Amino acid sequence: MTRYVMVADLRRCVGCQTCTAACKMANGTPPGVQWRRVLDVEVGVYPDVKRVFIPTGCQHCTSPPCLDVCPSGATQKRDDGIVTIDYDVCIGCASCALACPYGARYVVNDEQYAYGEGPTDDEVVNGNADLFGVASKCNFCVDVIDEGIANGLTPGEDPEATPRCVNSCISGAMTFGDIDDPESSVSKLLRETKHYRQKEQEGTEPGFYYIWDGDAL
Amino acid sequence: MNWGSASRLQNFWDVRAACNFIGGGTGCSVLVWAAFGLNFGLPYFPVALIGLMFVGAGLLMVWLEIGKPWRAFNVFFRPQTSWMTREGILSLPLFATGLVAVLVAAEAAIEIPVQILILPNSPVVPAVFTAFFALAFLYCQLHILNSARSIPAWREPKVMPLLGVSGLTEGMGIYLLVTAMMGIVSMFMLAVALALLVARTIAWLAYIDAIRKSNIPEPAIAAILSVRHVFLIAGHLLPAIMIVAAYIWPDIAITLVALAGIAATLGGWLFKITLVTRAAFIPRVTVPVPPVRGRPGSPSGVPGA
Repeated sequence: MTRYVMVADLRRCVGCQTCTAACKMANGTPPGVQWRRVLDVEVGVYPDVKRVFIPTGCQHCTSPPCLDVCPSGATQKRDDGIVTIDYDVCIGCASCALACPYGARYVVNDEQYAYGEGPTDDEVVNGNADLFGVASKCNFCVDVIDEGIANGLTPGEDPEATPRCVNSCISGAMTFGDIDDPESSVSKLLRETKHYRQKEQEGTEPGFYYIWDGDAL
Repeated sequence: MNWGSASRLQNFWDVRAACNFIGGGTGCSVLVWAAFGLNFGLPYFPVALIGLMFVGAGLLMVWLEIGKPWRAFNVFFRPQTSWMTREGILSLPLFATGLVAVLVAAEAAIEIPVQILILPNSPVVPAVFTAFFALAFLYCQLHILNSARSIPAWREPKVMPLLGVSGLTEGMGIYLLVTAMMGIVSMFMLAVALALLVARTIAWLAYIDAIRKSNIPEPAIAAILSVRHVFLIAGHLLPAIMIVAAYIWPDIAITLVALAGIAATLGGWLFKITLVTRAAFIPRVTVPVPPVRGRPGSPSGVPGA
């Protein structure tokens, strides 16, 4: 079996938002929609305060709550663990957005553009009008993955088969791959480090891991 | 302030979604009480018709809320797990049996010429089926709200009995109002209404106790508590007093019962609007373990430093 997951090394992330920009450029999301978002969070109590950057987005859960509540069947989970939305089927009821414990889904009903009421030249070319009126979220660049696999490439190892946010990361904080393959980069990383997943208590089994220290547990 | 560093109010569902829960809860329970009232010779028409109109108005509001209204039929595609799909499916037999029951009752009540239709002689059987579908519809609505796992105020389990009994109380309020306007006051129904007010008060207190003990964001608790005086006094105490007064002074019972019905109904609507539009806070992002940065041995290399 194959189970694609994302690993973010919180020690390396510098909060530059290059992954966010790469995602927006590639997917033409409307203003305010960031499928790959980097949270800028302060933790601790003065004077022991830290600033932490947390890349986040759809966690591609093993048991995704968004899947169960979707009335239209637009949300699906593939055998490789990637959760997708069929924008031609979604009715934009936003049930999934409210069911997601990670705030990873967006619904923009009215057409919005970066500057004014009309699209910019760039938005005309790169904007994705399919995203208005439906729920949308990160899909691990499933188009890139599928095309890469079709060309004999390995997602997470070959850039041509790897999500754009991972390719764009300037600090090497993000890694993608098949956790069911013990020789994959993500498997090796997770074996060697201490990590957690967001809101484990939800029982959703996210496919997004966060490394916080170097020595394995 | 950065996204995720503080709790935030959801903006996916607005007052139109609240109206769906208001219309569905009120309308469905009007249909239940109208069927129940048939046992005591109370009128089914036009009470049940008003119940159907409430349910229809609620569905219309949610249709106006969704992003792709012309794809609304896709809502029927996932009955295995989606309570919204189940609600949509149940609306079909609900309206079918409800309209039959209303037509039969209307034929008897105002002698409308509907003999051309193949209808039963009595509205009892279709009314009972309608009540069953209405209760199931209401049950689905409770789960729709409760399955919103990003909203702690909605996923608290005690919100379900509160919303359920509130729907039944709102429907009873409309039932009392409409029958009072027809010049009818049923002392038995008044007793049921009193019991519902007591039950909703208990469910409210249990819910408040639960959210105070949980990790629900403070602004959500504040929003809910901001309506507690109006909800408890105007929505419960006042109608209860008016119902008791209707027993004592039958001469003005019709006016008192109508006012009690309005108060009990508006109290429930206020709570639902508050719950959906003001108390639906998504918690802030938490960091269970901060990253360890720096070289081992240095102050910043200490876990959690």
